[in-house]
Amino acid sequence: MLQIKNLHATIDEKEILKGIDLTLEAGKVHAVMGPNGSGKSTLSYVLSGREDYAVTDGEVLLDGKNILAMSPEERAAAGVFLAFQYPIEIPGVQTTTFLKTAVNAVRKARGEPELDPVSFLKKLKSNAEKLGVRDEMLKRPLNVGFSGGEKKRMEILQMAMLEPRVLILDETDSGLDIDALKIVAEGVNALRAPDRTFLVITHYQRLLDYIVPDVVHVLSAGKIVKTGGAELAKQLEETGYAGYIAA
Amino acid sequence: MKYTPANAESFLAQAEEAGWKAPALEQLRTRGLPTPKLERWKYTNLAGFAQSGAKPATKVALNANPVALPWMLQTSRKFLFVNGHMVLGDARLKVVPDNLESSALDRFGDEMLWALNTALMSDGPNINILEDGAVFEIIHVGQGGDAPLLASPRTAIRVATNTSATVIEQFLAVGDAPVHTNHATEINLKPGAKLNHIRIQMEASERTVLNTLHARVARDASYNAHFLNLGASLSRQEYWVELEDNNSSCAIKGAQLMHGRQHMDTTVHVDHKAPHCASNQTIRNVLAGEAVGVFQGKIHVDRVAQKTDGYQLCNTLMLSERATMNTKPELEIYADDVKCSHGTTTGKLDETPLFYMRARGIPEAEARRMMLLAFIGDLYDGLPEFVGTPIAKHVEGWLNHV
Repeated sequence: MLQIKNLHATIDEKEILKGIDLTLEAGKVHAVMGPNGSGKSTLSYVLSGREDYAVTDGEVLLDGKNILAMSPEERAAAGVFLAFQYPIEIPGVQTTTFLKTAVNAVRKARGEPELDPVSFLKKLKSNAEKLGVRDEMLKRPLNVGFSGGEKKRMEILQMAMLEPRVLILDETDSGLDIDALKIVAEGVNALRAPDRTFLVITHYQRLLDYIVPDVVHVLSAGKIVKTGGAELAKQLEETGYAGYIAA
Repeated sequence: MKYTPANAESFLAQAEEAGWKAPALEQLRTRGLPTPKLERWKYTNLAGFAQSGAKPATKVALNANPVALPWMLQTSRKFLFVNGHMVLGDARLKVVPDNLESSALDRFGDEMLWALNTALMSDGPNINILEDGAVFEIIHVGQGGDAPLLASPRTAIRVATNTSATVIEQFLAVGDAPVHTNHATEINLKPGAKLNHIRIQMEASERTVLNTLHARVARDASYNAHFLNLGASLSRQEYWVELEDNNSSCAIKGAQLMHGRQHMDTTVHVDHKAPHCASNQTIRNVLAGEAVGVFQGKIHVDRVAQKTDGYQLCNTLMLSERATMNTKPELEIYADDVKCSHGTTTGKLDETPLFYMRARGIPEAEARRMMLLAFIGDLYDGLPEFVGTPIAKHVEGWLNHV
């Protein structure tokens, strides 16, 4: 579904991704694990189109079409969604207004009719309830004053509302206690579908107990250095990354 | 040499020589108009205005249907001024010399615009508000003629004891030819009075709009100003507020939105002269193109003004690298038990939230617009809908064009 080929990317002329080859298959969950500084977050930002990063080589094909030339909003419309490690606070923009603008922008770009206010609110309410997002949170400015757990639930709520096809989760477990982690993982699992693919980026194996991956990749120094099944994550939990850090 | 006497000559030739105008004329003859040599005029240069050759505007009829002007309420008391002369209204300024001078204003020896207004003043709303809940609306129209003109309206607003009132002022243009405005406003709030004063400046380009306002606020009274500056090629507004007695307060909140080669200056001076008074200055600027913005804000706290609560914040968003913002926040405190804060920020639109919004599918232009609206934010919250809605429309209209 999504093919990453020989992807090289730099920030401030420093090369972070040094030739990544990765195939995300429809209906599957792919975990990317790696030590700090291996390029995990960079990979998520490059896939979603952050302009601070320069792609120096390679391509990323979604259904055979290169998305690297697309703007972030075009990628979102094409179905790419990044759940941020550190969700951004947007003071002055009410959460509901933000969600409605985003949902309708994406629908418009996909050639679907915009949702009328009643249908939108119905959809929002049903998704929010499943994730334990209170009405009061939806009335506040986006992410402003939210706890770490609330912010992550808000990311998953946005994910559910925007109905993406390529779902990238960047360290979604960071800052979550075990109860919040369960809620978030349930939200993610509920979105698993045959026409969707997941890229779950994490430092720790813990998240993968709840979102069980089909494939696990180890990223180190900007390259995929090992690929295996779910058992690879458990093995890493015991041995650590020491064996994978390039000299 | 601090002053430039000659630069007011073209206006003086036309000044009225009424006896009570003598002090103002004398001041102009010895000082001229303000120049950047004066500390408080460092960032705003009136040379173009001084050399405009504008002549005092005489009374003319409005070249438009007064009903079609953007009045906000049907039921308010309405005043219409064209080039500083009253065309519609039910009160006139009685020329009472001892009501005209606000000597407290001239502390820095640079209030020549007030003197110029006194020397040339034509007319103006003289509003004595006795009725609680009254709303007055004033529209000042600058209507271009064959030659450059200068309008010099004078506004006086008095609000009686324990009375609340709202006064809305709009500055609009008819035609493009230059009509400059030099407006002076005196506000006098009796004990327990409350005035909501809203000003929207939408003058045409190639015009200068100068506003000097002096408010005296008595015990338990409060002066609440909101402004929105959109128009004119050069504008300067000064708010001088004197909190004269216990528990009086003022709030001055507004936005200056500028583009092209516009120059906008808001200068605020709040005097805390008694204990337990509160003041708030909240200013937001958005600069595009080659615009130049100025904010000078001062909180002056007298020795007796214990328990003062003074607040000042000026945030500026630069949409262009060619624009320039000058900010000068000042605190001058002589009392020892006060709470005063001030801050200014000037920066570009933050790219991180912009990326976040785009990553959610919101097109860049829309994301920018949402962030700019959020930046203006809560400035106009709490205003009644009949004024809040038109202001929101003006702000959105401006944002859609930059």
